[in-house]
Amino acid sequence: MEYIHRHINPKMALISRSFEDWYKKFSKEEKIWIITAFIVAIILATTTVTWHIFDSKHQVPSYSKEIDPYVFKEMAINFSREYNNKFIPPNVDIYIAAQQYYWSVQKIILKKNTDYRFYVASLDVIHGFTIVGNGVVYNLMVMPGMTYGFTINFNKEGKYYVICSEYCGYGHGEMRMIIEVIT
Amino acid sequence: MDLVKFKADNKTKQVIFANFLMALVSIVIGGIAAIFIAIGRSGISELFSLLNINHEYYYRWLTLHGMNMLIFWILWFEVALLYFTSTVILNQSIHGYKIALTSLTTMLYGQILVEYSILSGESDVLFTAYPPLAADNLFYAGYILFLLGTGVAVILFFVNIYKAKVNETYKGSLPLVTWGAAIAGIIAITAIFQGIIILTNTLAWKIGLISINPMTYRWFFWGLGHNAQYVNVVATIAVLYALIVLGTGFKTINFINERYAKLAFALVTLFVIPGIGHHILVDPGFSTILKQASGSVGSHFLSVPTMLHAFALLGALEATLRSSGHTSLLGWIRKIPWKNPAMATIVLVLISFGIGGITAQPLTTLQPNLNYHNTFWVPGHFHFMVAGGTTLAFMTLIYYMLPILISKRIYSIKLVTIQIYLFFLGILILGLSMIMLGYEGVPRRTLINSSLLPSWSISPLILVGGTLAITAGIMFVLNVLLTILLGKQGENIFEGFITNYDIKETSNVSKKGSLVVCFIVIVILLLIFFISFVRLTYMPSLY
Repeated sequence: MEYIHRHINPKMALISRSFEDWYKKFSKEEKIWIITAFIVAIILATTTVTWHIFDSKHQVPSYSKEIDPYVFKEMAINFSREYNNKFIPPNVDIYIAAQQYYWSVQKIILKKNTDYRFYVASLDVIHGFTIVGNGVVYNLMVMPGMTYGFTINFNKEGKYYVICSEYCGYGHGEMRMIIEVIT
Repeated sequence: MDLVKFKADNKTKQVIFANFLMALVSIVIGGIAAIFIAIGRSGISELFSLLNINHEYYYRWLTLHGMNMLIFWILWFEVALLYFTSTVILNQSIHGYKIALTSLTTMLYGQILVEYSILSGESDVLFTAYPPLAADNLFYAGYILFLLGTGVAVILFFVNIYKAKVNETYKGSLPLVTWGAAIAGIIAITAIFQGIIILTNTLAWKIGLISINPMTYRWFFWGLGHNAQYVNVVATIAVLYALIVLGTGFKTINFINERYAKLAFALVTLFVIPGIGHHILVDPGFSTILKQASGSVGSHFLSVPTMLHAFALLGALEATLRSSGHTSLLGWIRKIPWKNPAMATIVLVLISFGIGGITAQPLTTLQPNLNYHNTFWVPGHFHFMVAGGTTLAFMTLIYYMLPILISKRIYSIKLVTIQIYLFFLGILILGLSMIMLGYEGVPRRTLINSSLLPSWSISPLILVGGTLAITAGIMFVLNVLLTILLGKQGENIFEGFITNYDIKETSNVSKKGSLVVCFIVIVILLLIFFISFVRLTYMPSLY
């Protein structure tokens, strides 16, 4: 490091400095910035925590329950048999099973501005339940052996796609379901 | 001839050089995979069918890209960096040369197993390898071996620091770079520990000995993934502190408040573990309280240390320029030596980290994350962190480290400058297009027909950005190889790499301009953060 030595004070040659040399007081600007950084973090954290009070209708679903995949499969098949490609009455719970590489229903028709209760689970590997369309993007994980229950209320009519957003195998990109929302 | 002398012997240099070469091999493999992924995601199906890539191949390339870039390239280089900062910088030869070789061999065997198992088509599980999706046994075994080898290297790093302290090879306190590397080392231990535990369990599950809970896996895997990412962040920042003094011929050293920087480094270790939960924000099976506390609140405080470092680095740059005569509030920005590789890198990495940090906010916040989880927004964000940030900083450090290691001049300095800007431009286009696509809802890990929704039409920009970044990557590898093979030995091996300043004032130099810049970034960050909440209220209700 002789070359470097020529340019600088030798005692700083290896960038190691004595305690007195580096232990400096914080300047005014540094103090301002430390306080700002913490305030920003507190603003971010407070916003997300208080959002539970301000808007309880846009939250990560809190219902999840362990379930035997075979039991859930039965529920999803029953639902699909009755309601696939059909209009779902508002008080009917929707059961969707994810499996390599399809959803247990191909299409459902929902009513606008109506609460619908969904239960989603996987029968094999991890999947992702992603709703896209009309400016809407919602992403939830779908786990094997665990039902995820959530309520959705679509505020715009139109066609929405449900795709799989967590890699589940080669046919992953082909998993598709349509949610049609009508008035 | 031998202008750059250290006390470190040839064995030390060999070890560092060998780790560094493996990093180079990994980035080449990862880069080749990146070409196919960029083509795949560009949505140009003609190109896709022309190259005869199907879904199977796409996910194979993606697995290869993830493993090589996020695990192999970064960890090989970080191990080289740890050895460098604990031996060369501390003015000593390596202690435990044989252990270093053992670690190297273990990592090498691990990598070969993983690469083989991916290329054989038995392990198309992506780099996260979430069970019950199963990879080949060799994949897990290789992964574990690689992490074990890395763990040994990290421990050896601490042993070397201890030896240096005992033998008094350096005066005063530990240099800031080594201090930062030590913080990275501590976090690395926690990451490797969790990684080895969960991967060993997964291997046992694969063989049929135990059952595995996918949710437990996700939590522990991100104990590896999340902590390892903070190893990268800390290592990158340590590298930036090294670059800022190297690039100015050590003139900047007076303007770095080390106490401030060390405080910021220490804060990372404090906040890193509570932040793990931001990877499971939309998973079933975890309570909302845990998600809120660990994922959301914990992660927000993790942005504090990075913010402190950003100001420290930008402030040091500003103070250097100010004290050599550019005293207006923001006038010094125009005087940044844009052709100096180190200085340019610092500014570009700070911009990358800035964009990465801003786009991280909606992701790590419980409610808005519903709109962004597993969309293209996520790789958009982490390409700014890992590619535009960490990789760029590491590449530039190599331009400074290599001449010291092999006493040769970098083959072409012109190529260095072009490469740095081209790489940044590529990542900028790539990252921004990913972020825009993610906003529209394009999933990150799904090879999907882009005609599904008309707004997904900007996908070809991914190929544009990717091509630029890959071209820059080729320039980097070429330049390094030419340096090793044809580089000239001689005087002034750092010529063109150091900008000299005539420092007039060393104390009480104002850093007001940096404060203004940092405040502007904060305003944008808060805007994006609150807009993501406003956007959520327009979505259908979901709870």
